[in-house]
Amino acid sequence: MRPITLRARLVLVTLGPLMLAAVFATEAMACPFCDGGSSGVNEVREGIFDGNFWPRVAATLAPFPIFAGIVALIYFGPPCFERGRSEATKCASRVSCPQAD
Amino acid sequence: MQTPGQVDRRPLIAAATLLGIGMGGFVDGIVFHQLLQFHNMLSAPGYFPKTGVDPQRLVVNMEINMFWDGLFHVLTWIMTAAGLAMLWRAGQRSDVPWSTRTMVGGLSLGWGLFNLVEGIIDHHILHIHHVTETENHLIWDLAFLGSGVVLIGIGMAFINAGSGDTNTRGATVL
Repeated sequence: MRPITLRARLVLVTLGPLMLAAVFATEAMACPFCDGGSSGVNEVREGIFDGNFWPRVAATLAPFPIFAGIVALIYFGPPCFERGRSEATKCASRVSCPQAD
Repeated sequence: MQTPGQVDRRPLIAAATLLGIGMGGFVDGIVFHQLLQFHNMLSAPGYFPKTGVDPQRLVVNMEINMFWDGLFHVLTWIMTAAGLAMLWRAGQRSDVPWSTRTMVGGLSLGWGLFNLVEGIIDHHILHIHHVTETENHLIWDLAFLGSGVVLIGIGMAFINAGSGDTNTRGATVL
């Protein structure tokens, strides 16, 4: 039988208690919309998971595709940010591309 | 194919921008949502306002807003993690200049983009919340956009200032 490596021990020691706590902690049941408790709890759950849930998800997450698009544009797009490319034409029309050629 | 001496700043700028977006989101969440307790995700009138409601409704609306704030911060965490991964990758490349000015510029650019894009979409297009839910919220909303423009300007200035930095960190290519 193979001995347990140091890395595996570290993972077990670090993640083991966290996983046990997540599974067995009674505090997790204090989540306001996870159990079917008081009327206040029901109001929270109904307020979140009503008929407008998915439109609200879309509204909440709406800026992120734009963020991702801008970063992709920086990474793949305008060659202006790049210095020293041999393909001078990629930067030819860019005013903010000093020493690119 | 690359030749010696060629550098590519885009991986560092992209990584720093992503990190700036993520950290800007955390500034928003920590400072505005938690410490100052406004600017919550669905706190505009017609959604789940925190003003002009009775105390019991206020508690319910705050908990609902906390859920949507949390969902928003899940995405800001993902942005930060992706930025960290991209930064790690950029650090391993021998053609990416390891420039502090470029890094700081990218962080500022990302933070500014966060304020600008989030402000335009959530405050002015969707109207799901404003910086403050008061009668003069427009002033605060415009100041939020203005802070984004200033941060973007600062970021671009730093990125341009770092355009001459050529020292790389990575020893292996790609």
